[in-house]
Amino acid sequence: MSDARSFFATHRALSLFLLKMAAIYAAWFVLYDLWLLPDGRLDTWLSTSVASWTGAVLAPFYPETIVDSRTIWAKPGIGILIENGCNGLSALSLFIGFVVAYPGTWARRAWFIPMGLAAIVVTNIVRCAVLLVVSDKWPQIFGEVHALHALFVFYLVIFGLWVLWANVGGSAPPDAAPPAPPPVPRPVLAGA
Amino acid sequence: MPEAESKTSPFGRVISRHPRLWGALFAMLLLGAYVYGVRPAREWTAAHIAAPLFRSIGTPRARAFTIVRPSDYVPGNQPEAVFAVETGRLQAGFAAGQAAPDVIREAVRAGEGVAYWVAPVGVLFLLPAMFLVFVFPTRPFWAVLLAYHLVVGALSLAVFAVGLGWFAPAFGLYLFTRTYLTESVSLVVPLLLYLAARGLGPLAAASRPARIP
Repeated sequence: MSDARSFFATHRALSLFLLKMAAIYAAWFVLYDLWLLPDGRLDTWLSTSVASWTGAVLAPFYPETIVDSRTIWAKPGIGILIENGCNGLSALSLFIGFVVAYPGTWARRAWFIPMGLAAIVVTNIVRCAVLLVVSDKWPQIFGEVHALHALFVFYLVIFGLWVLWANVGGSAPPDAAPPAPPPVPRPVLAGA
Repeated sequence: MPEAESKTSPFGRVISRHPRLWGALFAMLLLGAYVYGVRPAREWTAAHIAAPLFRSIGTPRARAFTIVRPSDYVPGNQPEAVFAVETGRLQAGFAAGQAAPDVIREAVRAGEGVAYWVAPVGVLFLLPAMFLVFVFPTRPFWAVLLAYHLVVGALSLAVFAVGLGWFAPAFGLYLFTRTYLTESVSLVVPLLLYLAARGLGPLAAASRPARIP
């Protein structure tokens, strides 16, 4: 028991950070599962927006590009559907949860979170565009690219953003040793 | 002794000659170990631990489900997963001439009448573990990550069993462990170690020597 107490005392900042992150993800999970997913509006908005922006990116290279709600057709027969699991919402929440839990100032979070969200959305748009090109040029490897590419790219971007936040968050490293007290002058013994 | 050979980092000895090359080599070795060791172990876990465990639960709630592994029907089809499909749905599918994997696929797509457990230590372990081996070739941080994934995997097995046998909302908790918990472990553990090696983050303080007044 005293060992556990001593561990948490030593790793207070680490424990606090992990507990905060777990609480944020749990709260988001419940909010999403119970309200946002059944409601559907957030997922629909994000999916249709990503589809629309992906269509805009592809249009110069595929003049026949058509966006129909969540579906993007690069040309007849070559299209992808952006389902709820593919719109990047979970990646966005993963990113925000860390930035809120990890030590930093709120003033910096105010600009870092929108910047990170934009980076993740742009990543998803590029991913969807790449998937459409793969679907057109190399359809035989579409399944593998869809499964691994998303995982790799999303986590790489999120990891990079987290490292960036740890450096620019604006807070001293948690549990940093306090500054050393000013040196106390040694008393001079009279008659020594 | 040349100075380069005695270099140390906050995490111990470092390789002074071609560290990136050694890191890349060890990462490739880990990839090989994953393909030929961990992946078969995941399939074995699903077949010989998870599926029998789920089948052994004899509560009325559990009897409403049939435990199915698609790879029992089609070799190589999701061998690391175990599905709990509502028995009525499975029988209706069979009566309609559908094969088990097709019934499962439709149930998953519809998002009802099915839940599935996936063996831990998947790609979400492999990628960050390769990163750790590449950056810290002399330190077994990948093993720390593996331990965390095994703990999460054991937790997910227990939670899924509770959901199957007694308490439906535990399936929701299982989903949380499979998604956010696994993703957090996969990203946070390497991140904290990476930051600590650079004197940043919550772990850095623990690795610094105590200051004696």
